[in-house]
Amino acid sequence: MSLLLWIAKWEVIIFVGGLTAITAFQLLTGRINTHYLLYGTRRDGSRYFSPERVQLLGATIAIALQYLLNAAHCADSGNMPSLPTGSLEILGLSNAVYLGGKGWMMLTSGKDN
Amino acid sequence: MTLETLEFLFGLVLLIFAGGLGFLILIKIIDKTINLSRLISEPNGDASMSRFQFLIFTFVIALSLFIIVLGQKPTPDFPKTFPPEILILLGISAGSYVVSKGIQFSSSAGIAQPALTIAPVHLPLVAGQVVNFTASVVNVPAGTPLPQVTWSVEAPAQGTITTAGVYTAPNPLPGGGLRDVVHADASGFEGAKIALS
Repeated sequence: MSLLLWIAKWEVIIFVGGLTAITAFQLLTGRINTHYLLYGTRRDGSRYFSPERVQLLGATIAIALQYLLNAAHCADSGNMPSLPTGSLEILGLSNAVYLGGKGWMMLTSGKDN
Repeated sequence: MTLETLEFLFGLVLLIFAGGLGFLILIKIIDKTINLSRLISEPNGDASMSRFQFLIFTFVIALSLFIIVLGQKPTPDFPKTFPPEILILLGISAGSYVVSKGIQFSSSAGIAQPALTIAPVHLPLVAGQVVNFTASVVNVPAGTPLPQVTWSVEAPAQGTITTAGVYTAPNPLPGGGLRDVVHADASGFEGAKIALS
């Protein structure tokens, strides 16, 4: 049975690690489209640089990296780590700001002042 | 053949199948048979922040679970506790994606319409010049055939164009330059027009 466990472990490492590496590589090299990731669209179809997307990206990366580091530190504890204090509130607020900005620009006239 | 041997063989077959499937998926992603180029794209071609966030958190939670499972001794095992905050985080991310899609589809600006494009895009004209325009389709599934295109010009004084898209500029060119001269239209597609000068 230990042989099966060893095979299963390495299969998962190769698959999950490979999928993560391929996705990250394709994101960084532009093969996965990231055009206008930080740009929103107004009702008239024109685009604008979106601060609400920038703050959402920052909050997402910060929380994700923090959680990944926590998981690496308590790998042998047997328990999934909790999120850092306040992370859910920050993420919820960040998403609310993003959706609010997106909705405002998309659903109102959205004309430049 | 003992029960243990049968269990081992069954497990081995399952592992070979699962491993082969995983390997095949990775190979097909690398050779672009499985195309990830629009993984986080919205229908109008722009990258979606909510999809990107969902992607990041999915990978992070999966990798964290993987680290915890493998880190347990003496054998890999699922974690004893699973914080509800993780499920709430994924719920926030998924909910944000759903709301974002709702906002997007509430306006036509967020929806990509099948459309025609004309090539060449820019062309300095000379009197009597003959240009072979071609039309192509965008915002449609790969392999969609080109529809029947109707070519036209703004006015007879701006030249002539055949049903095959061969345009002949007037000789001499009218004063003030030409604008929005050539039109391409097809049923079910947003038309295209091109300005020549």
